[in-house]
Amino acid sequence: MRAPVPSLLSRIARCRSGVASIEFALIGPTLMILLFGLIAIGTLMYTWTAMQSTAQYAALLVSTGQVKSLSNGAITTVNNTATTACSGSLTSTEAEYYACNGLPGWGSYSVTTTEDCSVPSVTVSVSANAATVAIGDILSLFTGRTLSAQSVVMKEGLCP
Amino acid sequence: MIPPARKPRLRLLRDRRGATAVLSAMMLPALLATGPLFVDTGYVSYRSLLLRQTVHAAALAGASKLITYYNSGTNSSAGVVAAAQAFATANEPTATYGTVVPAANVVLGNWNSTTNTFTSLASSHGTMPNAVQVTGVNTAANGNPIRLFFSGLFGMSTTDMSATAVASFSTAQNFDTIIINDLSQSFSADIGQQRTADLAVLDCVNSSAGSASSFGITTFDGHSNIYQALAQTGTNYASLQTKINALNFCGTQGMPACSGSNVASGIYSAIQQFSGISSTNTIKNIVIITDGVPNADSMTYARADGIYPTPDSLTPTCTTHCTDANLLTMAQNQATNAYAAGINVSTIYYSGDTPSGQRSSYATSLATLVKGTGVALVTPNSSTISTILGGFCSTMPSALKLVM
Repeated sequence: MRAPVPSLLSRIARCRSGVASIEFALIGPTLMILLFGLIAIGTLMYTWTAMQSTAQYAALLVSTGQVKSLSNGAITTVNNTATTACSGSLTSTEAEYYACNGLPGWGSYSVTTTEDCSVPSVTVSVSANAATVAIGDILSLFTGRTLSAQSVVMKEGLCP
Repeated sequence: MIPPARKPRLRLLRDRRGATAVLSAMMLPALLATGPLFVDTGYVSYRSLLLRQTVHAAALAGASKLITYYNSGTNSSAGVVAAAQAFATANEPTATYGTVVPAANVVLGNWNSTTNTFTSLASSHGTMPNAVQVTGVNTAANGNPIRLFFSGLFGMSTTDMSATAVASFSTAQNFDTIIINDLSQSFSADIGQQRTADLAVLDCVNSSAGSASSFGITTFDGHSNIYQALAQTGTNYASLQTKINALNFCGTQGMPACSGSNVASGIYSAIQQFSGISSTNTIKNIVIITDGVPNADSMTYARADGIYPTPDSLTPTCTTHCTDANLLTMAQNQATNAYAAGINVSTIYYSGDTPSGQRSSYATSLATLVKGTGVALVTPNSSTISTILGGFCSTMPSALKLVM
């Protein structure tokens, strides 16, 4: 008596070829989400630290009088403030240049510099669209969010 | 002969089916554990930078207010602590980060630039601080540890960190200083105290500021007189001391005749003396020591140095019989000119000769002459002038720097 021919489903169930592909298909997405999530948060943390660092550097340059201009012109009156996007048009005589210089190139940033002679203090705030700095954010966790860093230092020297 | 059947355990070991699943099962926990740890590490790194920046800003702000310690009359550190905490809070708001810099963590003391050490006043029992140490804390004991995102899975939900900074005064920058001494008759009884004050400033400019710092004295009564031209303190220290000790009030031998109290002429003279000095690496300062507001008495006003004031839109045209108000306006205009020329202006008002009812208004008037990083100091007793000036010299705000 001939043995019964196994059904198609039964053959597929018993077939061991391509098992690695199936296992990868099951595990892969989890690993990819984990991997890209780490890359996204890593780049975000790196950028955040860089923003904090450049913010105080720019603030100190203004507070010590080494930089005497903002992007909207020379500091000639009290309580100057200027907001600008980081771009190649900033020059080394402007405070925002130093707040933007050294930030990772993959992000888009905005800088607000305020000189308040009533304290006196200098405040530099750097903000970024979090979605642009979190590379590999495949789950769009940071879409619509803003990453910001701020440094406030005492104004030294002459204050107009 | 039928080969013997393999043992089940051996078969399992040699079976390669499902290897990826096994590998994944082993790797996934490791990945799930280490990945989030990197996130926490990155966050702690950021907070570490933020804390260091906070204590730097707080120390600089606190040290810039050291003058309030000397000016308080009671050696109070309240002004220093308030400034340090204000800047700490500006960088790390209390609502988000807790009290990063408690008041007790703002310590006044002295920085030794030779040994690079900070000694608190509590340790030295000193009364002349020149530095401020600020310690920022993010600790469980302080109620504001750094909360971690994922490390709590491994029993570590928070971590502690602290950072310390000391701000003191630069020795690299030159601190060119012209003292404007009031030689008017009303201040004559205290000329000895003015000498002591001048010596105190000379000492600290010589020892604390850059080696090429210059020091000069311009006197004034109704007009100004360059008593000692700017000279480098390092190479002329002894001769400058001799010159200060020979300072005397108006009408005495070698001093100008008494003719009122015209501060403007002194400021104008100082501006001219500073005009030829480059501002590179040099901080220019005028320190006015007087016992009252500009005063014309009944004098006939004489042009200081033969050239001041030159009548212009800023100068009242009162070449003769100027009123007290005219003289104050002229002084304010000259202080503005000094500021425009990059010169800081401070005033030391000795109020002991002023009727008590007028001291407040005099102090207010003199404070209008203060420019740049200058300060308005008031002392009721001539014996404290040298202490105040010594303190002032050790707290020159523009020479501030982080030393640790």
